Amino acid sequence: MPLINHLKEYRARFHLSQTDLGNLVGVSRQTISLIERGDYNPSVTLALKIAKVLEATVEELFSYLEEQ
Amino acid sequence: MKKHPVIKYILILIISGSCGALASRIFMNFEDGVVGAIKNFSEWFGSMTPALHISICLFLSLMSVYSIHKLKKLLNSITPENEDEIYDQIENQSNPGMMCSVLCTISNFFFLGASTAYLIPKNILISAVATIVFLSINTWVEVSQVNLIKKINPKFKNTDPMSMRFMKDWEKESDEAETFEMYRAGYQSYKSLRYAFLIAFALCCMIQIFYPIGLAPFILIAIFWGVHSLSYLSACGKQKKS
Repeated sequence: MPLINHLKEYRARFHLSQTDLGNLVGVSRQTISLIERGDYNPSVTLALKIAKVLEATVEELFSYLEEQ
Repeated sequence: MKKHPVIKYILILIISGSCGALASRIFMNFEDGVVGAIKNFSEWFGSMTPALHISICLFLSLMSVYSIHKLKKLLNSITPENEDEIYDQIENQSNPGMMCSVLCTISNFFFLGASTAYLIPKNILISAVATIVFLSINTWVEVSQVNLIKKINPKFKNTDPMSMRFMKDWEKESDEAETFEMYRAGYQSYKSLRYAFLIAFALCCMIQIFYPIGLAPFILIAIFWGVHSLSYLSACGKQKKS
């Protein structure tokens, strides 16, 4: 299922590097990079943690295209 | 054909059986040539084992050392502005070096085994010394790689690459995405090995027709195939219970 994310934009608003965001939500920099590239879909728990840190909702950060 | 898998299966059996019969008939006509070629290759390989061992393993070791050197240079060029890009580059470029190191380790053991098979004491000694030297270099490469990753991901700082518990500790410290990637790669490897064992078995059968290789290869393939499949199924069973 193709998941679109706006993680990079929200991260830039807070001037956070991937390492900083990773440290705040308890995952590695590589995981944040994989999510931003769309190579990995985060679990619900991780998505909620990221949304809390970036002061946004999960729906604002992640959306998906219905497959036809 | 999709609706009739039984017909597809029977057709595959007939075609592959016919191809096998044709190939056997052709090989029978050239049996002396094939056996002679195998014997000549075997003699040449036995005499060249130390030279091949040193040259191949030296090349692979140098490639892996160069890869580590390149990665360390990249790490030293990090600034707060380019941090994310450099870390991505390091992670993408670390695989070729590790592949060279792993291939070198496998080649070391292969050539050491080959030397002992030919029972030439001088060659065995040279291979043994070369194995120790190249394994030491490979160990340094792998420890350096792990330390590099520990600098990028400090959460792995408590894992010791020289410890017997290293792989378990590393898995424990990995987060959800890293674990997912690990398991996906593991399943890819499982799928590839299933075909590899089948191909190895078929090759041993064909070689046995022309050159006596004995029972050992078949026993080893059966054991490793069994361990491989049963350990996977056992792990699946444990996952379901938990």
